[in-house]
Amino acid sequence: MSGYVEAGYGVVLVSLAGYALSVVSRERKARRRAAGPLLPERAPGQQDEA
Amino acid sequence: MTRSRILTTTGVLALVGIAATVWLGLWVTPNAVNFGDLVRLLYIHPPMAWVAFLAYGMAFLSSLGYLWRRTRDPRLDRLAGASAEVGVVFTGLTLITGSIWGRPTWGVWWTWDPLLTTTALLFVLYLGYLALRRVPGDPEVVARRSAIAALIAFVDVPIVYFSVSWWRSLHQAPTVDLSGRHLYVHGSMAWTLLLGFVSFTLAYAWLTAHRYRLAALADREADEGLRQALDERRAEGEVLV
Repeated sequence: MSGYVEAGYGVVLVSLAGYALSVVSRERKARRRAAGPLLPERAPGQQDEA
Repeated sequence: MTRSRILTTTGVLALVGIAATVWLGLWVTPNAVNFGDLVRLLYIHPPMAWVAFLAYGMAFLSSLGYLWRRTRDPRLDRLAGASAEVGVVFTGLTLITGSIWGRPTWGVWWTWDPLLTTTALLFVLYLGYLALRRVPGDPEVVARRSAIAALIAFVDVPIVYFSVSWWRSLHQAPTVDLSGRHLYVHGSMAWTLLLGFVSFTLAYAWLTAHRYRLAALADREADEGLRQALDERRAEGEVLV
């Protein structure tokens, strides 16, 4: 084959896979944030753990 | 069947369909007399363009529904945004695969041909639409102005489709002629092309549904954040009183 055909198929498959993965991972992160509190709650006076 | 299961099934069917299209397109179908192996780009390039049109059509109808008072619903606005974003991805891929076809066929990666130019304009118009959706403001105002922008941008879709018949173009006539109900490929080539259309349409449905769910979660998160901020302000006010 000429190389152009493979390039065309490669661009389409890689781009669609990349976009799909980005949408799904952002959706998962948003779902996780929605399930828990926006910020972890701290007891008064509690410091960040090292 | 639950919605989630329907979505998973759609995703799996799209994946299997695309894999089969690639297999048939690259290894099973014959070369064409005029175009040699470049004809294999046919199985992905027209389906990309079709999905872009479908996505913009969906964004157009959803926006129309949002602007009509009786059917005004934030879900329609979300659907328009999700569909347009997927449309932009497919338009970008249409331009890239077209350019890859153009280099060996016409000798150039790009030319200011009516079809190519109006397609590039379509890409820019919807990028602008997506940018407009991100301009901050009252959610209802943002949704209304986005809906108007989607209606304006859609004007370019029929211009793109008919540009090959309206003006002299380097680009050949559509492989699937909707007005004359004619298909210019036959046998295994026609079946592979059809499979490409179906598979990428399923991929569009799956991507749009996930993008819609992401937008719904983002809206919920923004509402939650606003409510929390208001509660904090109220609590501060009570302390001061």
